[in-house]
Order: sequence, then C-alpha cells, then structure tokens
Amino acid sequence: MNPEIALLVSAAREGNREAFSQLVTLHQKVAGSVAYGILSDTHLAADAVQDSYVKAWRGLAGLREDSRFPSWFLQIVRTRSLDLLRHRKRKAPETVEVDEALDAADTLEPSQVLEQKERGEEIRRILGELPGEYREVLLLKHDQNRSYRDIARLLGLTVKGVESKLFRARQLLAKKLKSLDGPDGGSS
Amino acid sequence: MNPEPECNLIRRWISLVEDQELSTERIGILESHLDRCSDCRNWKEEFQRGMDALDLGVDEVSGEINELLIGSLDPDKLAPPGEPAEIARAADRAAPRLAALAAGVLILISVFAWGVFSGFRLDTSLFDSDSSNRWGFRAVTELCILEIDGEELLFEQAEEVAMVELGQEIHCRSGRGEIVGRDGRVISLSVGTLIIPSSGSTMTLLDGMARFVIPPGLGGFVVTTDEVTTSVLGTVFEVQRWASRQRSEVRVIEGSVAVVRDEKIPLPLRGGERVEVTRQGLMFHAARIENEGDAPLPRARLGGVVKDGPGTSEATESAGDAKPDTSTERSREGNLPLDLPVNQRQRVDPDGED
Repeated sequence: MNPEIALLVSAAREGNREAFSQLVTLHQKVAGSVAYGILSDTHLAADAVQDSYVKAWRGLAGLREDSRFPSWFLQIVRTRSLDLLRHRKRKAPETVEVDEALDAADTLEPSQVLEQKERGEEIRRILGELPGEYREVLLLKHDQNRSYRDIARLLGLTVKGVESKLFRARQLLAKKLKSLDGPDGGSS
Repeated sequence: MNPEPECNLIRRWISLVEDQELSTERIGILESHLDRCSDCRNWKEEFQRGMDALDLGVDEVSGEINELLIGSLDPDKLAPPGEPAEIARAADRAAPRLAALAAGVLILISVFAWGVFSGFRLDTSLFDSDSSNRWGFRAVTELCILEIDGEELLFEQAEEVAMVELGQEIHCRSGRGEIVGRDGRVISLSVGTLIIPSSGSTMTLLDGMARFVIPPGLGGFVVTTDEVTTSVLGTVFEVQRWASRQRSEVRVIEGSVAVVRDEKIPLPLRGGERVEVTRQGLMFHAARIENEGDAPLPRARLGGVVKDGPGTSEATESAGDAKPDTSTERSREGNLPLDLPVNQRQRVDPDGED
C-alpha cells in the first residue's frame, strides 16, 4: 500500500477530516469513473462521489484494514451510484457549453472547435449506450491509464476479466463508431 | 462472417498492445500476422480510430466530473468526530432548498406539533391565504425521495417538509412520508405510491398504497382510483391500487366509508371490512382487523369474483400473488356480490360451493 495513503487512512481514523478529504481526493477520479460507469451521467456521478465521501467518513470505523480503503471506498461509491440509478433522474444541462468552446478557440479555428465539440458529444452518447461494466473499465483505463492488475484489484475482477471486458468494450465502441461514421472513417 | 480463430486471438492482442500488456514475443507474432492478414489490418485501423475517439470522449467525461467535484470534497462538510455526519451533510446539501422552504418548514412544523397535541386538528391559520389549494408533505423517514411532477426532492431527514400544489403528481420513490392537508387530514404514503391531490378534499390514487386519516366533522373527503371511488366523512382507511392489474382495494380501519364503482349503488364499509375492486367486479370481505393500530391489514384474498361477463378469470388470476392470511381473519361473514343492486344481492358461499 502507498505509504502516503496508509498515513492518511490512519490520520482519518483518528478524526482528521483534512486527511480524509485528501484521501478521497486521491481516489476521486477512480470513484468518478466507477460512478459514471453505473450512472452514465456526469452530474449524477459527481453526486454519487460526493455522497460517498460523507458516507465513507461516517462509516470509517467499519473499515477493517487500512490497506483495503480504495476498494472499500469504491464499494460505497458503487452502492450509492446504484441507489441514485434507482431513485434519481437528474438531467444534465442541455445547453451547449459555448464558453468552453470559446476557451479552445485560441488554438483552433471556430469550425474545428465546433467539430470537436460535436465529436465529443457523439462519443459521450456512444459511451452512454455501452453496458455500465464496459464504461467503468474504459474510463479507468483511458482516463487514468491504470494497469490491468490495478483495475482488477479496484473492481474485484481477475486480470483476465479486465482484459476481456476492455477488449469487448473497445470492439463494441469501434463498431458503433463505424456505423456512425460510415465505412471510410467519416468525421474522425 | 466470423474471423478465423487465429484472427480472434490477434485482435485481442491488438487491444493488449494498446495498453502495453503484451509480451515482446507475442508482439512479434502479432506483427507477422498483420503483415499477411488484410482483414486484421483493417480491423486494427478501425479499432485505432475508436481508441482515438474514445480518448476524446473520456477526457470530456472525466473533466466534467472533476469540475463538478471541485470544492465538494471539503472537510468542513464533514461532521466533527462524534457528531452524526448526516446532520452536517443534510444541512449543507439541503441549504438552498431549505432556504426556499424555510417559511413552509416553520409553518408545517408548527402545524404538525399542533396537530399531534390536538388530535390531528391542525391550525389552519398557519397555512397561507391560498391554503385550500395546497397540501404539505412531510418526510416520515430519513432519505425520503419524492418526485413531484417529475422533479425530485430529497428529504435527508424525517420531519423535513415541502408544499405541494393541487394537480401535482406525487410519487413517493423512497422512504415514507405524509401528505398533510388543512384541518388535520393526513395521507400516509408508502414507497411507490403515486397520488394526485385533485382538490382540498379529493385525492386520485394512481398506484401503490396510501392510508388516509380523515378527522370527522370537516366535510366530505373522496379518494378515487380508476376502479373505485371512496367517500368518507371521518375515518381511517387505506386504499391500495395495483395499476398494472387495474385492481384496487379499500380497507377501513376506523369509522365508515362508502365505495362506488361504475356509478352503481354505494356500498357502505365499516371498520375492519375491505373490498377489492377490479374491472370485472367488486368483492366484499368482512375480515376483522387483529390490531386496530397501525398494523397493516391482511392482504387481499379473492374467494371468487362477481361476474359482469367474461374475463372473471383475469381478475382471479390477478390476485395470484395475494397470499391468503386467514390468521388475521376472526370471522368471515361471507362474500357479497356487490355489483348488483342491493335488492338483488345474494350471499355467496366463500368456498364457492353454492
């Protein structure tokens, strides 16, 4: 276990809120990926992580081994995400984020910015159509570039299982993109 | 056409190479296969396009989540050790909502406090001037989720309140809560209950179960479902509806009600009696309640259904999941086919041996 994490868990157990906050921040990206995998909605995923942060703090006494903090925390994120999936329907803002697009205008032509924006939205839609377990591994791999072993440990899978899920997820995604773009690669 | 078994393996390896998880030896085999297999080369190109696009989408998703989380993992939002975390969190998350509802909260807490100590009679002056068009909702359990006209409200703590308007569709998604009207009318909702306050004295139950506590002397109160209309003057009763089966059940706990189906003659029901209503007919049960407190009444039992015509079997089958619970039935006076005018009703043998 990372010594920094061990220290933070230990301090958090003693009631140090700063340490706990740092601890969760270190796992924020993984947690976001897991939550998004289940919810397919960035706003709900952020809610799930935020809720889990408070829930984990409250239940820290229930963590048996410090070294199990990452998987224990992710289990809380998963549970909360599933709760939200069952009970909540919160729509993400549907407005096009023009400001963000303009921020990028320093380096790209306006038409390119819009094209990239549209492309990003298409990919997000396709990501949203994938099964949750695929989304989860895709985000952990592509966003955080975690090793198969690491992903397996975090998600409670075997390395072979991660390999297989990633392969199927990518294959499915490539297939969906192909049908979107046409056989010659379209807009990419 | 499916690829050759070897191609299948090679394609898995392409995915592994992407992640630097393939051994050098296998990379050699992979490259050699790609040199001679155009199908796999094409597949790899397609796959690569997918990967490039994926990075774009993933970056966007991840960036958005992280942006939304900025400042949200604030240690100040955590309760100090020893203090229940929910309190700090609920106060924090519900702050904007509570600010908007502050007036309503104070009013309804006062209303409830008064109601409790005066036998459900609430101080109507505490409702606003347009109170006849409004009901209040109070969470009975923590983490109660209410959907009002499709907009969700999370009640972190029991006793949190909100106002609801006439005609709004109220869906109790999680936990338990109560709709409170002027003059102390209280409608308890269970998980899944879908109900519309149609007026100050009328409720439309679309699905699920609700218990109605209607203090006497306040004028009539009506509960409608697609199958049955229940009118009361002062009583405690429950109405349950299985929308998917088009079946309703009315159970009287105290006092009396009148139930009407298809504009036929009203059927009076007294405490402990219940009636099941489907499109095919209406079934009366004289079962008595074991405990007249808050305990739920025995579940529905269809001993037979009054026929309007063909289709009776559907109604009987629809109650298939309703387990007989004879232990709570002290007496059974028989099932009356109530779909007929009073003077034509005949007693039906509950065992169907007539």
